[in-house]
Amino acid sequence: MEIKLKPVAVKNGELGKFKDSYRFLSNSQSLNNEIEFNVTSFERIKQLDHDRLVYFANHDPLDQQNRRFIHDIYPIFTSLQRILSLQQSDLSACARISHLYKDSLQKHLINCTPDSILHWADVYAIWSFTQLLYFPIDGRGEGVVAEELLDWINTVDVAPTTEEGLEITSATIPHQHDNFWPYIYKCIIRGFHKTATQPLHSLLSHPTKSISTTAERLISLLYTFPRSTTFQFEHDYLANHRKWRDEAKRALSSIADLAQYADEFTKDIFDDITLALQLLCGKKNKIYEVADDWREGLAAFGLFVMPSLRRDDIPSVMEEIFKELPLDTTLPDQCIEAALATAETTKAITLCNDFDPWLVAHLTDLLDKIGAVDHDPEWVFELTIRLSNNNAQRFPLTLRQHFLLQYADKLASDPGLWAITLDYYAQCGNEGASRVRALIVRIPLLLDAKAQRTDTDDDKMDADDVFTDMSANLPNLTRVEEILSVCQEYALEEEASEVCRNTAEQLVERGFYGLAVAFCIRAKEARKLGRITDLILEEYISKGQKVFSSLVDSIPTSLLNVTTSSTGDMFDDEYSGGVGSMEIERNETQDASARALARDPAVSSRLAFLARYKEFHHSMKKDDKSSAAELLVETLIQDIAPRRFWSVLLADSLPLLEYPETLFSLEEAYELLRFLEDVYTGVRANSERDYLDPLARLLAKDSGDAPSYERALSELEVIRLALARYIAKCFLV
Amino acid sequence: MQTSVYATGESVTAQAYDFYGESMSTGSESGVLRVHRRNADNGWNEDEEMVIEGAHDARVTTLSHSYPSYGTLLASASTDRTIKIWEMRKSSTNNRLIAKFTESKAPIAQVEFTSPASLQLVSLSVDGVLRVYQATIPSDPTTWSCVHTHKATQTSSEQRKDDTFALSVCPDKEYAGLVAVVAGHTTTVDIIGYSTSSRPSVVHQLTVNAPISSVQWSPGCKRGFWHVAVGSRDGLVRIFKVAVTQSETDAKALWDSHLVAELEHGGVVASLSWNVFGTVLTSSGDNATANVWKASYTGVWSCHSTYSISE
Repeated sequence: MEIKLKPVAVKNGELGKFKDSYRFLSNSQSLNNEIEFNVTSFERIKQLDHDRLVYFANHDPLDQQNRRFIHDIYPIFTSLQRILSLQQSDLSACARISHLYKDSLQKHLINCTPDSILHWADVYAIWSFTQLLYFPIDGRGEGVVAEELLDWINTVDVAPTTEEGLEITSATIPHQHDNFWPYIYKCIIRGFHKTATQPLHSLLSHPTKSISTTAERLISLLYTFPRSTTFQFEHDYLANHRKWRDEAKRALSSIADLAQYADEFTKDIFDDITLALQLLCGKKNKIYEVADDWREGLAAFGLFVMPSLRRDDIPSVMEEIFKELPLDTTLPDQCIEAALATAETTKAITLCNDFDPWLVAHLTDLLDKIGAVDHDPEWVFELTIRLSNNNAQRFPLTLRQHFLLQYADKLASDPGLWAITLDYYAQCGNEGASRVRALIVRIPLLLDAKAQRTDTDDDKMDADDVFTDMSANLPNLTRVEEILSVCQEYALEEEASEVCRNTAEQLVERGFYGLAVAFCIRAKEARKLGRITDLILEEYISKGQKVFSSLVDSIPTSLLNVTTSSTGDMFDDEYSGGVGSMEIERNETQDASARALARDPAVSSRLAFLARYKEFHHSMKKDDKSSAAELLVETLIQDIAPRRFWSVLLADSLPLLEYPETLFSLEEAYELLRFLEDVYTGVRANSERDYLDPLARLLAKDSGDAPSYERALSELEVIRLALARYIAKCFLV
Repeated sequence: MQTSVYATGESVTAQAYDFYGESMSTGSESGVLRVHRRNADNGWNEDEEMVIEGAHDARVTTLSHSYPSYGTLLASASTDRTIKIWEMRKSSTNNRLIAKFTESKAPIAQVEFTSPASLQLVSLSVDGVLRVYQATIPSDPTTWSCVHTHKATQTSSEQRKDDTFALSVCPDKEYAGLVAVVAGHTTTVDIIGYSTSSRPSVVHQLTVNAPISSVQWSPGCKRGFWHVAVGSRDGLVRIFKVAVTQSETDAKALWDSHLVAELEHGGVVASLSWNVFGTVLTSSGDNATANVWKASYTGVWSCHSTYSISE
């Protein structure tokens, strides 16, 4: 299949020029079956207009008209997989499922576009035929099958039409209408016996007595024709049919006698009535004459010729029927039906593959469940031996898996169907599992997507809207959570980890550090966590305490393991923890592994520092100086404060030191002094940046100057002085 | 079927999709980098805030996006002999250039981020030198060093017009440090393996009957093997099935490869790409057509469809 990309870049006869200019077509593939093409070259060339065009194509497009149908079918498919994992090839369960598929097909037929109706009507015909043959409703399929065949052919190929009937009955002399007898014959072989009697009544008033009496007999036979559906026991039906057929044969022979006396006017009518009776008697050659195709022939065979026709008899009967009513090989749907009738299932499936991807996938799946599909059929096996040059290997895929994968590959063209696509892949063995793993990490995370609003009135501005407005700044984690729950369903730990890592990174990019921390924990990424805590501290320096506090609040509280209560902030702080903090962990195992990681000293100390420092500021705001002092010292003594923040903490201690009340114990004051000395040592060892950088920047921020270490050092001097005074004060008391 | 056509501001000499297929970057003859985002109608819009004018002094030859767990980094290589790494975060407005590599004395033919196990970049210049760059602090993409330099061509002949310099990194994260390299006028693809402790060396070779013009390594998806597609100047695309196993006796890796398909493309096959599952191959070249190849149930590769920009 060749597709010309528009607009044309190389005109007729210019291919040589194209090659000579060292141009070539470059391509790359993306997800969703997309291919990108652009013209580029090996050399530096004069640019033409076409060189800036980028073409896109989809090599396995999905018809968007079928979207609804795909959604309808999907739950039926999944329930089929579930049922049969519990019990072995339960025929009646499969029959029920087949029926559900058929209903969906019917619904689709009503809703689909006019140009695809014919195709879907054919699909429906094939499906119902398969159901008839392979999935009998009673679950065993041992009974006679003619009525079901009639039902089928009458649904998929309506004949005769009611218009035809009306035309005939409304004529002045119906039996003289051109179409009269063809109509009658059609009614007969299609089983519409009572309908046929209507127009036949016009023959009752025929001048020739023999004709009218024969017509009466014909009508009565039609009325009394036994239908298997009205009998409870098969042998009753067959006995009745035998009796009735004898009666029909008697009528046939009596008309043969009467026909001898026919004149030129009545001869035709006698011939016509004779044919009608011959059909009723089940004369094969006459049935083959009247039937339009093998399908009609088969149904009529079961109705008249062999009323005991069973499903298992059909293949052998088909041999005979095809001789008289050969298959029209130009009709692909009939080729499939013929293969099904002759029990050549693999051939039918192969033909379905060229017909419709939905059909071949779901039909093979259903047939496979009852063991009707040949694994490694002979002809395919021979082909392998001829082609492969290594030892003959069994195929890695079964036919069922191959067709389902093919269908899912097509669904992959629509990114909105990602969850359905993954589910189909998941049912296809190892190859399917590989594709699930490859695809699931590439599903877009859609963090910036707007959340669905449930209220329809956008103009209403009430208290709720204030909250929704605030949450509009939060990232949308719906898609991420959906992806992660699919990972959990299929036990894809590695992939879940990768998705969490990617989410954490994207959250960091958008400044949502708290949520990023939560995802880091889920991904078990201690390293990235360290980077995020550093970024949060960075925010403190550049944006101040409020932003810092809200960021820390957005970290799930269970991770922070704080001894002092931090839930009180909800009512005090403007940046309320209620909106920012989102409890991410939902189940226990995640919680457990998250806690395990949080217990890792490298991780826990960083988180603990953030929590304590935030608490410190909170206490200072509340004027709870003693708690603030306690927290400050804790961070230093417990060795959870990062080195570069020591000077900042010491600077924070200034107001506490100068407070009239003694807030620190003597030991604690000495500790502070020790830390101060460590900072000085570090500075002398030329590690000013390590020890003074944050303090310098904080001080500079207030004044608007450039950060300077001198200023930081002079601040340290002030602290040293304050500490000295404080210690002295302690001695005096 | 064709889904759309999109006109960019200027010629496209390099193109790369991002990891999620939601955006793509293009590079031009004049060294400008642009970013385009997919819109709701499956068309494209240029993100005008992300244009980098003067990213390079000459043609941009390749672009490569990093894996998302390392942030949104874009590596660009150019005939101006430099490789640059850009921070493509939407929010940052500062100078996006975070690293520049100038070791190469020749134009860079191709550059690619390696598998997501580490933050690493492989490059091949037209003098046949392969360089591996690694971020020394994994979480800090501003600290890079060139950890390996390897001469991929044996002969130091002068350059011919039909030399090809191409590389393709093995995309599976379980196999870090594997790259397929074509350097010069050659009929062999070298599979080069390297690690932090061992220098790059040729661990396996794939040989074809004609000078090679492109190579592409397919994702393995844990099947136990890969497909490596090789395009050559005789118009054929050859697909090799490649597998590596750990020998039981010593710690060496055993490589095995054999040809599974020889496909008629026509012209010089200059560009190859695999889909994310490694099941669909697209080849295109100087005959202005592209062929999409798929394998049947029986494992026979054949042409599924052809796209042409000719009349």
